[in-house]
Amino acid sequence: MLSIRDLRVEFESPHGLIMPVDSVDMDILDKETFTIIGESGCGKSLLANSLLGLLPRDAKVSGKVHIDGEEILSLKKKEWRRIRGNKIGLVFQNPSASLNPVFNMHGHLYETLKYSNKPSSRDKMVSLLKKTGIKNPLRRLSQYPHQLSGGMKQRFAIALGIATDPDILIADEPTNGLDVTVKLKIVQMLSKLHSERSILLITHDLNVAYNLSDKIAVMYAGELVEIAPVNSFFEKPIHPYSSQLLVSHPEKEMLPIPGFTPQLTQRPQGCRFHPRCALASRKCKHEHPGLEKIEGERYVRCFACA
Amino acid sequence: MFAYLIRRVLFLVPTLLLVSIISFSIIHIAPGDPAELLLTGPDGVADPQVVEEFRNEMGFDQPFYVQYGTWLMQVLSGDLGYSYMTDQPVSKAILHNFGATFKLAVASMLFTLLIAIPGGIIAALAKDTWKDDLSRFFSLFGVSIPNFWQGYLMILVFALFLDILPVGGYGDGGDLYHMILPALTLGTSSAAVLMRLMRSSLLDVLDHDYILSARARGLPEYIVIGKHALKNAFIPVITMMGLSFGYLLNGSVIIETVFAWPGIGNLMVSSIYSRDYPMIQGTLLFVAGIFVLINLLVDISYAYLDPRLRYDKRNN
Amino acid sequence: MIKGIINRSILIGLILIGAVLFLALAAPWLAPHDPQQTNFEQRLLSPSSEYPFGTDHLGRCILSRVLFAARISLFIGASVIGISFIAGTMIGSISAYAGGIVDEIVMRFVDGFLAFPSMFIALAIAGIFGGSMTGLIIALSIVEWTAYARVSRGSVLAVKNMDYIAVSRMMGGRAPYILRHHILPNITSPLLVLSTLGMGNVILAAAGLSFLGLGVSSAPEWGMMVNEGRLFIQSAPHVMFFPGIFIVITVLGFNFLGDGLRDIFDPRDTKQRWRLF
Repeated sequence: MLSIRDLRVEFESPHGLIMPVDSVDMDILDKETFTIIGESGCGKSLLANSLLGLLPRDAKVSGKVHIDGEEILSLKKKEWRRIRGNKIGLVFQNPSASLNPVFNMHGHLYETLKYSNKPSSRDKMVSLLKKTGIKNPLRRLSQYPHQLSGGMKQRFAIALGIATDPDILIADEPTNGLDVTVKLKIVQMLSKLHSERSILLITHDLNVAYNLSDKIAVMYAGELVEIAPVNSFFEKPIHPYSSQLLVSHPEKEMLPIPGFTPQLTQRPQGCRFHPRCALASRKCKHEHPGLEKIEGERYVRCFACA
Repeated sequence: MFAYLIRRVLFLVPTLLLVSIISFSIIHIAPGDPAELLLTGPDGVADPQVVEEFRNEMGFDQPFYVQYGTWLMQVLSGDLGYSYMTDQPVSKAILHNFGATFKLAVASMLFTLLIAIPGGIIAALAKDTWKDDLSRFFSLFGVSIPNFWQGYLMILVFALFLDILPVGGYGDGGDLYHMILPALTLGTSSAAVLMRLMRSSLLDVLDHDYILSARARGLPEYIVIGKHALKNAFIPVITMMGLSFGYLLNGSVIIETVFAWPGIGNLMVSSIYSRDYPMIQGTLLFVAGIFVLINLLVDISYAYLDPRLRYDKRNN
Repeated sequence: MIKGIINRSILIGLILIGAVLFLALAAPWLAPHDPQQTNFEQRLLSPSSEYPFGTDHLGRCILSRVLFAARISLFIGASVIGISFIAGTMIGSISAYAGGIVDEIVMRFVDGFLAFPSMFIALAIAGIFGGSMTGLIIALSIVEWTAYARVSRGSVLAVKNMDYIAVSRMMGGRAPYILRHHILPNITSPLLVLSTLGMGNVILAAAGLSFLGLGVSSAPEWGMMVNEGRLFIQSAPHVMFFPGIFIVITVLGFNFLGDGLRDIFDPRDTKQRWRLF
């Protein structure tokens, strides 16, 4: 379905070249929910945006991304439109910012449907709103973003994301900033959509990841350090970073791990996690580990546990 | 919306009161006795007897607040007094001349928008390229050129050298032919200001997530820019258009003198020359009133454009 | 960061202002003739080696007049900005610091002034004073100070409730001390931009009023020179051309500088890229 090989995103910064996304390899299968977890700043959102060609002008993207066999990173600026919405839909984090304040719901949906050549009838809109659990859909259509609650905005953002019927829906932190009950409802709603299409979920909420995913990938300092099916991951995480993530958060709410996430400009040599790792050896300080297959569908980037 | 309007209008009352005080008292700033000043002609100071009579007649011997009170009462009943020079009612002269200024201002505003909106959009979309630099230079140049000098350069080129437009005057009731040069000159600086604002406002909007989100949904670029970005970017531009009208009024003082356009600026200048106090006071009060009114209209249109303000009551 | 301090606009602005300032200061040595010396045999001469900018209707050397006029314009600009800056900042800061009824009254007063198109007020005041340099400076200061009052009030309000001010106050800092040591340093950058752009505007307005005959008349002044030249626009366009171009250069210099300073102090353009991380 979607295959990513050696994806890198680089920027020229005042402190030299930085690489917020570094050699990412992953595959998302048909109707699979693939979740990337990691602390904020690890590069997950940038990775998502790069799949739609939505990076700042000065970003350099390299690698290969195939969707249904078509390579998309080499697309011209105009050809991206074919991918956006139709092949890959993106639900941004923070729906308050991603909805245009001067358009009402109808305006948002109408255009989105119209320009992806879908019927933009009122019935279609109502069914989309119903599907994402928005009550009173007819009345809601004439409302503006500022008139909606946070949860409602998130539902609507997801409705917009699936309006174009993409093969893959990327949901970037869909539960960020919502209170617990609303979060639960959004998760329930997403799990219903689960059977329809592939989903790339990006979150730092382990609870959400556990409930929705088929596969989990852990991202640290721009790299994927572990990929595993959801059950085996939660039973027995392998990478020291993954296990610290799980162990240090009894409530399954991710909290910071001791030590600091390395800054983009000062990444440690060798394994990027070694300064915070209990198992670090000499080798970890000097050599950079690759992402190795260890058993079945499990991959891990670690000398100590591979 | 309605409550907002009422609040907004009530807020104007103290401002208008101050405006009236400033308009009335400004002629009292200068040292010396206004009656004496007024009657001082080329042959020196007039006969003290005459000055005394005049002072009496005009009420200059009354305390300041009595003079102001009397004047304010008159103004509130719609009477701005009579011109010292022509004995014409001040209000009639002002309304007559304001018509000409209004015409000119509308033409200038059209010209301004025609230059500023596309110019600003192009500059923003081509940020940091030569197009952006060019627009920046033109904007800075536009606000740096003295309008009286620009006016004469225009006259020199288009009226005297090319001989395709008139040197000045009102023509047949302010026809287009006579209006082109003054309108272009008057609109230059506001076009420059508005172009810069259009640019920065659009850049600001383009930086928002909802633009990225619109692109992510596969909307074509002309819809993303033309609808999603511009609708938001116009909001501050419209506010500025109101202020631009103030610039245009300011400019009218000089432009109307250069092009002999019989507008309110021209009236003000000639009233100053002849120390026609009732006319000065009336004109000041009138232009401030117009300015306040325009700002009110801008606020209303702002509320109309921005749904966050339109629905402020129903918002939960 | 160092590279960002001096941007291109600032550089252009400084060069233009520096050039005009030099010409103004060195006018007595640079001017080829006495700027007031009339010579009826040499009226309306075109530019030549003797009179590089030609002569006006009274046979006076336009180059010399333009150079001396630079002094007048810069002097008026600096005086008006100085007065407005000091008065406006004081009134605005005190108003914000005092708050309550004082603030309310001061701000209504400022609103009252802002309700007028500024040129009308300036014209009326300059006219009442009967066309003198003092009148011109007073007139322009009266319309200019409100901007400084507003900006400084806004900045002080923003800074006033911050923690370190509260701490300073708890430690017994007195109002004037707090204003001087904590608040003023925080509001200098917007005021710096405002006064740089203000210099350009004031010089333009002063030239405009002098053009109308309501400003300086005893010494050469650019606006007044344009006014004198307009009668000979067809036969001797150079008479009005040179003073005008000097106004443009001077005002352009201040506008470039102000624009560049604004870019530094309000670095909105640089934010977008790094926000993604």
